[in-house]
Order: sequence, then C-alpha cells, then structure tokens
Amino acid sequence: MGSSPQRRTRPTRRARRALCAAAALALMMTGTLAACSSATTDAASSGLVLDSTSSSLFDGIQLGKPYTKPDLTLTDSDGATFNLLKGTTGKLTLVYFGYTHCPDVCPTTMATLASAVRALPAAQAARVQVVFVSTDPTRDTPAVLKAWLGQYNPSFIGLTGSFATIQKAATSLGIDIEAPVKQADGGYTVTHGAEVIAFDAKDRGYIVYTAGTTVDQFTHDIPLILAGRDA
Amino acid sequence: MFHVHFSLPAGAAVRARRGLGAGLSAAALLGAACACSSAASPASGAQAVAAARASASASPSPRGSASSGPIRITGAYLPQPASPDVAAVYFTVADTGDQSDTLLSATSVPAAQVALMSEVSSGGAESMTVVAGGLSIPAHGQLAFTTGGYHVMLTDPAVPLEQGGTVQLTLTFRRAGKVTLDVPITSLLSDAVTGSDATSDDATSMAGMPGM
Repeated sequence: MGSSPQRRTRPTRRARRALCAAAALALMMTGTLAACSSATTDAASSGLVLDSTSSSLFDGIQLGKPYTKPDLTLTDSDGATFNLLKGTTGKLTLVYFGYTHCPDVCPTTMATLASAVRALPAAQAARVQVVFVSTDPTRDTPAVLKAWLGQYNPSFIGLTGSFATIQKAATSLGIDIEAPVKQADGGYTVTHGAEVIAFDAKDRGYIVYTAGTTVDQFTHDIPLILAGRDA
Repeated sequence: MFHVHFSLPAGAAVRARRGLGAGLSAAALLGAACACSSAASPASGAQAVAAARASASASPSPRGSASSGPIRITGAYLPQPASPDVAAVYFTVADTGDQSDTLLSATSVPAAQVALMSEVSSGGAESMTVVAGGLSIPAHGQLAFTTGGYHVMLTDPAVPLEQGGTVQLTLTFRRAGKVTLDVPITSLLSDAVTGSDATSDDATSMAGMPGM
C-alpha cells in the first residue's frame, strides 16, 4: 500500500493507439450485435465517440464525447426512492448494470471494484460511489440487493425497479441489457453490457471500463478523475 | 491460513500491461463469431485452447488439483459467492496425452445443479450460455476456466458455500472418465481481476490465435 499507482510502468503511446483502435473495432462489433437483438443499442447514435487521436491519460477507454449521468429514479436497497443525480451529487460515480444471480462477470466486477475502493486512501474512497443497477429487477428485490452488495462493500448503492426504466437508462449509456431468457431446455441466456462507466463530479461519464479491467487500472484512474483531469 | 491475493495499488511493481487492447480485439472477434447465437459452440472454438498460466503459481490462495491418466486439473478454486443461489468454479484442464478428450459434465458434493457455462464477451456485452455437447481438450493442450470465460456453475447448493470450506467436484471426461477433486472455497474478493489474473492471459492468447 502507500506507493503511488502512477509509479508503475505506463503503456506506450503505440499501445494506447492500439487500444483505441481495438476499442473502436469492439464497438463496431457491438453495433453488429445490437442489430440482431431486440434491445438495440446503436453506439454511433448514442454519441459514443472515441478519442482516438491523442494518447489518453487513463487506463479506461476515454470517450471523446461524454455520456450524461441519467436522471434515473429507482428503488434503493433500503426500499427508498433513489434518484441517481441527486443521490450521487459531487461524487465520482461508477455505474454498473448486472444481476445478483450472475455467477461470473458480475461478482468478478464487484470484487474488482470493492478491492479497488478498499485500496484507495480513505479520503479518496469517500469521494467514490459505486452504483449497481439490477438488470433482473424481479428477482433482485431491495433485500436481495442489500444482502449481496453488502458483502462487497456496504456503501455500494444497489438499485432496482421497472425493467423498462432500467433498460432505458442503460441504453442512454450505450449499454445493451436484456431480461434473462429461459430456454426450452431449462437453461437460460443472459446478455448484459459489462462495462463500468465512470462519471466525474460534474456528472460527465467520459471513461468506460470493459470486463476484465484490473484493480490497478481502477486505482490508477480514480485519483486522476477525482483531481478533475480529463486529458 | 488463507492469504488472499489482492493487488494493492502498486506495491506490485512492474505489472504486465497486456491487455485491454488485446482483450478488446478478442472480444470483437468473438463478437463476430457469436453475435446472434444463443448456444455456445461446443468444443471447436479455438478459444477453448487458450493457454492459461496456472494461476495457482501466482497466488498463495489455496487451489485444488487432481489428475486421472493424461488429464490434469490444476488451480481449482471457488470464490465464496455473494449470492446463496449461484457460484462459479475456475480451474485449468490439461491433456498431457496424444489424444484429445472431452469434458462432458460435472457433479458436486454438496449437491447442486452443475452446468458447464460459457461467458462470451462481444464488444462489451456479456452473454452467458450453457455449453452443450461438452468441451474439447486438445491433445497436449489445455483449457482454462477463468473469470469472463468458461466456468462450472453451481446453482442452488444444498448448503451455504463459505470461505475455508471445500466443494468436491467430479468432472466426467469421455476418455479419462471421472476425475474428482476438492475445490477450496476462497474469499469473496478472490475473483477480483488483478494484473496477474488469468483472464488477461486468456484474452491475449485468444487474440494471438491464428485462424479462430
């Protein structure tokens, strides 16, 4: 602990350009995927423009045009009405859409975020708010969310409510979510965007983290976002 | 006794910065292959061959292993689930023999519904499906079950799965038959993605794999 995250090796400019190119390709593929699913998310029309010209300061993918934090009103894990804008004012807000019956990527992401927040100095951690929005609101009641998220970090906010409302908010952030689908054979398919979007204190969502982002990558970026750096 | 390995900010010196880019391009390739299907292609996918490094070697956390004939299972662990209903087991299967084998199914004690699952990432959207028809382990190759990839999913376990305990997992292979191993239940946060996490190895290998 203690040593600064910035001290570790930095990727080269070339690596960063490659990252941007890869991200652009990945997003193009998202568009392709969206075209054949019912809940379409058009990356282009949702204003997702990648900053592909300059090397980014961040380990996450920096967007040329930030998302706006949605004015989303749902129910929190205490059963109270919660508005995302009012409830996270002035915080660096990390928003993730997932569900508690998810065995793999959702727990992995929460474990990664919890580890990252735990690794931050307390003064920084106090300025960070993780928000988990359920994509399976029928099963994810406030009590289920509270028990699940509380194990990672009791300060994490869990939101549930109408699937249509949640899906609309996700779509506005370029995230494709679908309700879990039961298959005829008893199995099921779940599709949900696995990105974490970071909103700064001014509610600008300008950095996206894909599944597989490491604890160190989060702890590298968070102090920069808190410091108001955006390039 | 359980030393869980998290990466704290940077004590961890030089960290391989592979990844995000390679991972994304792998995701894009998978997206192209898997975009509209609802069932994962079984064995044939070259992602199955992803060469995973034994995560056990990089971590002091307990890991389970077992072998039967040419089949070797290493690095098995089950992060304590936050949900009482569902958990995932991760490990690496190596086939040291001259013939490929197929992992057909799995069972557990304590009892649970056990399924071989595939998590496919396509440009950020994660899609999880049951693997039908088994998973091929190539001769002299290995198959990694890692976060964000394949996992053995335990649903509705008969008893709570808590850190410090173990789950006995029996894997059934077409050639090697049954392999039983004790899988340690590690901490809730043990599947946090760190720089040494097998996930990035996995993605990098996939990206570098010709002809997938």
